[in-house]
Amino acid sequence: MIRLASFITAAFLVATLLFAPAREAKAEGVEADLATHHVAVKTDFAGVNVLLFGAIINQGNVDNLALLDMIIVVRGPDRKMRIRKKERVAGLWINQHSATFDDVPGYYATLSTRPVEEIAPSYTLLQNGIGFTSLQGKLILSSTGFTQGNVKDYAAAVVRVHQSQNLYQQIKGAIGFTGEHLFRAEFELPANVPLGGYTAEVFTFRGGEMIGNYTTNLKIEKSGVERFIYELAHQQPLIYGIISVILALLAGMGAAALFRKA
Amino acid sequence: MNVFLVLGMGGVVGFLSGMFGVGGGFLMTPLLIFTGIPPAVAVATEANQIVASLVSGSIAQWRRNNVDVKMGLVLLAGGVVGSFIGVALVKVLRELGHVDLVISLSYVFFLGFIGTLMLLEAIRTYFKTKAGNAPPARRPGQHNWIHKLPFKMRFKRSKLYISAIPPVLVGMLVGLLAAIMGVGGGFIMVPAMIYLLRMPTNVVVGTSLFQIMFVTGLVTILHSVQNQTVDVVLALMLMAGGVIGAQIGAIAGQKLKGEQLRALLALMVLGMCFKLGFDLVVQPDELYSLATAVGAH
Repeated sequence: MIRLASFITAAFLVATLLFAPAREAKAEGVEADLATHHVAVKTDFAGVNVLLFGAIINQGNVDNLALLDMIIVVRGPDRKMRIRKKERVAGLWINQHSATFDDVPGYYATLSTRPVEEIAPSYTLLQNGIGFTSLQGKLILSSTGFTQGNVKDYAAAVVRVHQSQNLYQQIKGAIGFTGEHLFRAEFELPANVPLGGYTAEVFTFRGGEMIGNYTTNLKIEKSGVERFIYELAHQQPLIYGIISVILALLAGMGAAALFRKA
Repeated sequence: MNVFLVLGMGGVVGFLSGMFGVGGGFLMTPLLIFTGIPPAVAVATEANQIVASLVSGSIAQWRRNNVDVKMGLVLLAGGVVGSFIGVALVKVLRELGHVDLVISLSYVFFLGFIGTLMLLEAIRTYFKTKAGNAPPARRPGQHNWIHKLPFKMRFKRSKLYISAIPPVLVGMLVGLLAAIMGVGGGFIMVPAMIYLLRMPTNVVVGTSLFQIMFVTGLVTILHSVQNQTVDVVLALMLMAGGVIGAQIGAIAGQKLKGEQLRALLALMVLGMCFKLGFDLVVQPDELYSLATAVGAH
């Protein structure tokens, strides 16, 4: 309900803007927002869908009458990751070779009206980091060494492994339009989504030419007790360990007392 | 991770350990690995859970004066060294990318060993009971090579005068296993105390519980500091399930005739051994695996 309400509010706001008398011809562009800018992760967090909505502004002021296309790119915080490759050694599958990449987004999703390769030329996609192909290109640039084989294989594997965990997604036809101006799309954050700062970028294209882009932010954090435990474990690991043992002792003694009475 | 699955797993393993008087670690850690918990996390978290499952037994044994404190401390000294070595080893193996392999291989070896012993024991008892013979009491010789070692100490409670080297080594092995496998190590410790150290059986259980509780507690703290692999929420849920399961298991154990069930447990252990071994030998669907690079969070 809240999502719907915020969507309607935003729609009204956009509508007022649109029908206000235009004093001068402005370039066509896009504006967007998220239904929430903060996702709280608790123990029972099973993933969430986040709504992105917005409007095409100053449409009609352009001569370009090609069909409008849109790509939304949502990306999570970059991390330094190592990918390992197993090989058969003495009958066992053992991690033998590895590659390290400095900037691996923890989450990467593209939502688009059509397959991204059909929307814009590859250099535009690469320049703006749109699509798995350009993501792999950027990964290769951030590679800080690999032990054997081809760095492309490792970069492709980084994308593939993330994809299998639903952390990298490429979905076409996932953007819904209401009339000519308004659009909405939902992207899925799975249960294992990494914490940190996210960006959602909206790109609009006509005939392969980018005519607008808009960026908005999202933060994914642990909240409440989970946040406290997480921070303690990472910042005060000794105290965390001691507390874990004390809790175990108390739990064991408590249970014994409970069952003696029963 | 599903809360009810975790509680259920804690309950089932607790039931089995309550019924057969076995520690739950060697059952729980592989189960956690099968459900997709990273092996290093499974091991460290299970060490934390074991502390809870041993505390009431330890206190009861302590009250009955069944703990040889001096022997316990000597074992513990070895245990501390073993824990430090084991946790450091896990850290190094994680950096090399071999920690999953080493944990799995250790389990294949120990589960295969324990499962086979349990199965043979169950079969032997089954045929013995059928034939109506009592199992022959083993009477070990009074002297062996252990009495030739230096650094002899007197353990009054155990009525022993032996070298400190074997108990220190036994303690070390148990510390190492606790750190690498997330097990209490009772299955190694108890036979070693009886057959190797020749301790009187009335102090064996109490002293081993005493030592294992401290070692698993230490392992929990060391893994928290070195590897940040203790998941206290998961551990608490396992404890909750385990405590209830153990109580029911203990009651069931008194009422049921256990030999067939013991054979079943042995088959389960061998099944887990086979599954872990199978996963190492069969080509995985995805040859690549991701890990956060060392130095990053």
